[in-house]
Amino acid sequence: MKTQHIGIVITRPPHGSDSASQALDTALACAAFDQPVTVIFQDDGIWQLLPQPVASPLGDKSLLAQFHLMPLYGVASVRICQDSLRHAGIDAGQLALNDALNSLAELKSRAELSNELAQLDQVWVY
Amino acid sequence: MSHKRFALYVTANPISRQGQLSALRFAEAALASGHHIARVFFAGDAVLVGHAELDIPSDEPALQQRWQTLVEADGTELLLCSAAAQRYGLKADASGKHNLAAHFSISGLGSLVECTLDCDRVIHFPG
Repeated sequence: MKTQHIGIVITRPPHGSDSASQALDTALACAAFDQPVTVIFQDDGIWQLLPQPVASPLGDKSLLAQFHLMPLYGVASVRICQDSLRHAGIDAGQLALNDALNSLAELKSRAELSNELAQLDQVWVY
Repeated sequence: MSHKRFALYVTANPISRQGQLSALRFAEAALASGHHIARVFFAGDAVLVGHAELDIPSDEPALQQRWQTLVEADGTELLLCSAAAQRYGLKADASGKHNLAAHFSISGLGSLVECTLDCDRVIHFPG
């Protein structure tokens, strides 16, 4: 069967829009239909992976628990932009990754990510 | 020149953002050049364009009508993401609560995957 390697790029922070929620739904759906999916957290998207209180002080819904499910749903690879972390002053050790996501996720520089994106069949930016 | 089959993936709000008008202009230009727009998959805020009771002032772009024209010209499928449609109260059921505009239908995210498999290109119009 023909497959398409799909890249989902998350660039928005956890609060203020439902952009990452759409990205996550799309990533999980594509994985459920047996397409190889790469999810990339870059720019403000890296804030999605920081520890968040279960009850958000803003009253919106946290997606962190759902991001932890990505390996279970068969998302093929997860990338976190190292340069974005550095610009935000975040150490990779501060990210709230569970064991499964921690073993799937890889830190990559912006240049490496750009090379990877060039190999993908589809790239959707959220 | 070989003609391509395009799918469009539109996530832009039809009223407040430019993306949906850009998608439409792309579609019209592609058609005018002999290409095909096989499918348009609307997700997130973009699904609002399929609401039967949109009431857009006549001096503003008639997005819904222009998408419908595409269906008549090229047999394009206009698909609204079911999860987003449900959140916005868009319904296709036969119980008299049908509020979709003509030619729009509701479909799952699987259709987006299908677009990637059976079209030459999928173009995303995010905002």
